[in-house]
Amino acid sequence: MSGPRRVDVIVTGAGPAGAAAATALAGPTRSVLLVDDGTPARSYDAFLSAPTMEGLRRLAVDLPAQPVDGIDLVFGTRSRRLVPVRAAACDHAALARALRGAAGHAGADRVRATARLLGRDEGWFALALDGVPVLARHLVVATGTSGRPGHWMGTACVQRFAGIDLGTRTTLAVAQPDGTDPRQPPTCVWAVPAPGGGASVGVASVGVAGVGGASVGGAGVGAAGAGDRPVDPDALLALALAELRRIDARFTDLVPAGPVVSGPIDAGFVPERLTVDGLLIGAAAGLTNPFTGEGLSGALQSALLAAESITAHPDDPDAARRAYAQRVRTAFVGYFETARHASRRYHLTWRVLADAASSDQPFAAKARRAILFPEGIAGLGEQRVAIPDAPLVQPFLLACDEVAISVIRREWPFLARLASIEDTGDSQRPRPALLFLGALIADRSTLDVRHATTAAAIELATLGALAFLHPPPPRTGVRDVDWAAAATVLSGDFLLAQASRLIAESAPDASWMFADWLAELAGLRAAALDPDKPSQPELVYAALFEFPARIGAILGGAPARVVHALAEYGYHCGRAFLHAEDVLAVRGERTRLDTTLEAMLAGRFTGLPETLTDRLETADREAVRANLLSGAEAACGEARGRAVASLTAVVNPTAVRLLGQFIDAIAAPCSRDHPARGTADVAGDSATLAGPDPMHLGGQVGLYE
Amino acid sequence: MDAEARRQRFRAHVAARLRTLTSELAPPVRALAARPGKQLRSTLLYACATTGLGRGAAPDAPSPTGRREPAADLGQLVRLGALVELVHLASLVHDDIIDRAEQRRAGPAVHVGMGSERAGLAGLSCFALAGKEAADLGGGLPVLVSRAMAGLAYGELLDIERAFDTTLALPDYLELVTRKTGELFQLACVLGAATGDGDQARVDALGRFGLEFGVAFQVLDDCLDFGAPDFGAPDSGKPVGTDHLLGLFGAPTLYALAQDTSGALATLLLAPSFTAADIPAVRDHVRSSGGLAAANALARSRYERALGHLDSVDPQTRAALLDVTAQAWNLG
Ligand SMILES: Cc1cc2nc3c(=O)[nH]c(=O)nc-3n(C[C@H](O)[C@H](O)[C@H](O)COP(=O)(O)OP(=O)(O)OC[C@H]3O[C@@H](n4cnc5c(N)ncnc54)[C@H](O)[C@@H]3O)c2cc1C
Repeated sequence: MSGPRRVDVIVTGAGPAGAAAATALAGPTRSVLLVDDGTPARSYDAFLSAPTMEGLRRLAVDLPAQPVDGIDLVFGTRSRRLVPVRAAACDHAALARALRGAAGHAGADRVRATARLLGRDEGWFALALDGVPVLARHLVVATGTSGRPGHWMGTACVQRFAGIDLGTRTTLAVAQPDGTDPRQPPTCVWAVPAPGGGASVGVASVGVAGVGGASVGGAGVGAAGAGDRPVDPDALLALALAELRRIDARFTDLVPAGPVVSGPIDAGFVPERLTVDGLLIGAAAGLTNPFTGEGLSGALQSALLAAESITAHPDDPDAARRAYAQRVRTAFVGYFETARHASRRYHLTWRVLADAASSDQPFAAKARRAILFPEGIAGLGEQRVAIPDAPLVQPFLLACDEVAISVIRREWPFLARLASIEDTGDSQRPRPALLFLGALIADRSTLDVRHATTAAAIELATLGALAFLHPPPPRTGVRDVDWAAAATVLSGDFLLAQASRLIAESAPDASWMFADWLAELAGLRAAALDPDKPSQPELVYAALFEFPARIGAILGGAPARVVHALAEYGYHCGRAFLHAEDVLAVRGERTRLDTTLEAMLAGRFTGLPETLTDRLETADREAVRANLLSGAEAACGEARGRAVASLTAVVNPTAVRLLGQFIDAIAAPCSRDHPARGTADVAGDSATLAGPDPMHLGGQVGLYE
Repeated sequence: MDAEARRQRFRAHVAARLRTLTSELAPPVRALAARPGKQLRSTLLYACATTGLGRGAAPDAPSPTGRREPAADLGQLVRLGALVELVHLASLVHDDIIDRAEQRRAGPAVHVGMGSERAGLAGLSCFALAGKEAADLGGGLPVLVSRAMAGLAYGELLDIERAFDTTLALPDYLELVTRKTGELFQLACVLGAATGDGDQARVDALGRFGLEFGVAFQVLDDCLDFGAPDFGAPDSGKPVGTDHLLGLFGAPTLYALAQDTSGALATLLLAPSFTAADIPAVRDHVRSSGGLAAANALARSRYERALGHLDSVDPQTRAALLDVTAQAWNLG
């Protein structure tokens, strides 16, 4: 039988997303065509975020990349801080070559042609490759930004320069939008170190195509959204350089060392858009961060999800489509999922980020990380919890995440990013849902999936409680709304109301206990803030962890004795958590709440004894630090011991394993064999940042100077 | 006892219950709870609770018990009324942090005395109390109350994200008002109506009435914020016009902005140098360009629509609600 060639999968577009998908899909039992029109990849230094690096690791792609351990994050003239990251920099053309090479190596058939979808024919995708018809079971669309009007489109430009050495840091500057024009498209500027010296300076500006759009130049930021006037890349880059020079004198004497590279970016991700004709991935799916122009992490992650979905349903494209749709709904939250509010919401978020930029209080820090950086904030630490009995547990967690995100994504996509979980596979970072789940199966071996909704409520409530437990400090002396404070209160109210609703709907008998838990948290935190009372911040965290464990045991039908033991377990988990925070903060490492010792002391949520912390700025601070560390480690170890001891009441071995690993992960920073990562850690030595005005460093000029 | 006297007695009970409920909260919240305001929400609840009685009876006919009391026992209604006021109170505490209001109900806002961090916790305690009370009352209450609270919080978000938007479209404005004010009015009416004879169609009709009346009420409040002398002080008890400083423009200003082809009003409102001293100029502009009149007409038409939902309701309840709404409208 002749006729058009038939293959299992066609991937259109061999950019980072398409090449990654082809790499993951190709193999001896599957024929994959990777089609690209041959537009050459251009050379500049790209920023590879931590999830991008994770994606490359999973694809086993090796790169000549240079490590980046910190982002010098600048918000207009308002604030400046160093955000620790585990990222890298790499030539974009080298990245593209490496990925395409990997696809070829894996067995994908690379074809140079322009692809066009003709339609579907009896379950086959019919494509024309430079006019030649080909049929494929599955279609993955990775053709990059299409420039559809009405989406969140923008432009990015990059140029390589000599005459600067950024070391292992990148700079990300978020230009200050003119606070009074809600339609002005904001702009961000970055500088990424080139291996062997030099740097690439980039700039991205996003606006809704066909709506508003300011002129280029003029008063500071402002570049037309695509669909309006064309953007002049040289003018955008000139703006970027001016901004960088304002921030940092090192950018004064740059010498161009490459051509100006520019291209469109698309931040218009909505889940519904992804599975209409084939599986859309990468820039074609609108997976670009509108605040930073970062798009590689979404490209690789979506490629891997698409590959997993096809691998799971090789003979059933519709099932693959449904699987991809589900994975995508929990893995990504777009920035503009409700177009009607998109413009205003974008600006609100921008204002909140700028106002909260000088705050290290956990809610502000978590929000900043979730919105600006693709790694998200899911979980309470790096140490992972291996999932025992995966067939039982994984569908439960997936359902939990789906509920948690779906209840807030439509109304509040920016907030949903806080809740989005990028953990997949067989291990997770410790989070409240795991605690709840472990307690739920303490005395039984079956799982009622209805309780996934309760688990989602607990996740959302923990996040909401965090808003009230650790809000950013108020800003004074300004005309308009205190955006950071306002957004924190709004987010807290919204998350807690949604959580209450989910509890009322999924576990009505727990409604009272749930409300009582919130009252308890508020009361304990208010007491911890009261300077006239002995500060007992331990109790706040003990309560935060105790409830998920207790309610899990109750809903799981455990006898009173076991319920009591699990409440005890949760209580000590919370204590261990706080002491582990103390340990990380004293070491100057990134804490689980993304905060610093200074912010913890200012916000009164540390278990460190005041008698010692008061002496941190005296001459014997090294001795004081050592003292603080050993005290906190001992307290954490004691709490861990008691948590472990209470697990003797638990019957189900799966629960024992899960909860045992959970407390181990919580207490990991305190254990002897904890790897002492990067000693001169970025959070501690911000003074080495070269900046014209040390005032801007305000919040973080550290304790240890 | 006439209807108004019964309502007053009910309000006194609700206020007393609210004081008991909030007794464990911080002193500034207790102080605010002790100034319960007009109690419009609980009064609507009470009026809707008469639904089950005297269907088709003449408005002044005595009920079978000889007194015109609602069907549910008074204690239960008082608890429901206090619950609705408690949710409102909690939202006020947080609302004032958000827009940094200094004044509330002729006294200092809660955060003024205790700082915004503690006020946030105090508001959280109020919400938690409302949650416990709803759970205690049982039935469908936890779901109904938490849904309304989620709507309220979403309305607050819409309220804040429109800042400095001089071209906010009417549907977007109405969505915000519906969530922010309408949902709680709806909850009050539904809770009251649900104590009646279990006729779901009437519960729904009264709910729709509440939602629509809440919208009308909020639009009117925007007009009052304009210091319309013929209406008296706004419900919020805040100094007049301050929302303009926050970049939050109500219906009158939005209408005026839509009329203003010269762009002069937008320029004035968006000027970085804009201060309280400029508010009288804004007010004059909005009045003379017909913005205030247009907003008043909007409030009026929404009010009429709200009353339209009462067509299917028994005359007695309708009369009671008309009484309450007319008072709220400051016409009574
Ligand atoms: C100037 C600039 C700098 C950037 N810097 C960074 C950075 O530092 N870090 C970061 O994370 N992100 C950065 N981004 C974003 C990032 O480049 C994109 O998110 C990423 O390239 C998306 O990959 P993709 O494979 O989805 O799409 P693309 O890279 O756009 O690849 C699409 C491919 O499909 C081909 N194609 C299109 N149509 C067809 C067709 N019909 N038939 C066949 N082939 C077709 C194209 O030729 C192209 O090769 C930058 C973007 C720009 C414009």
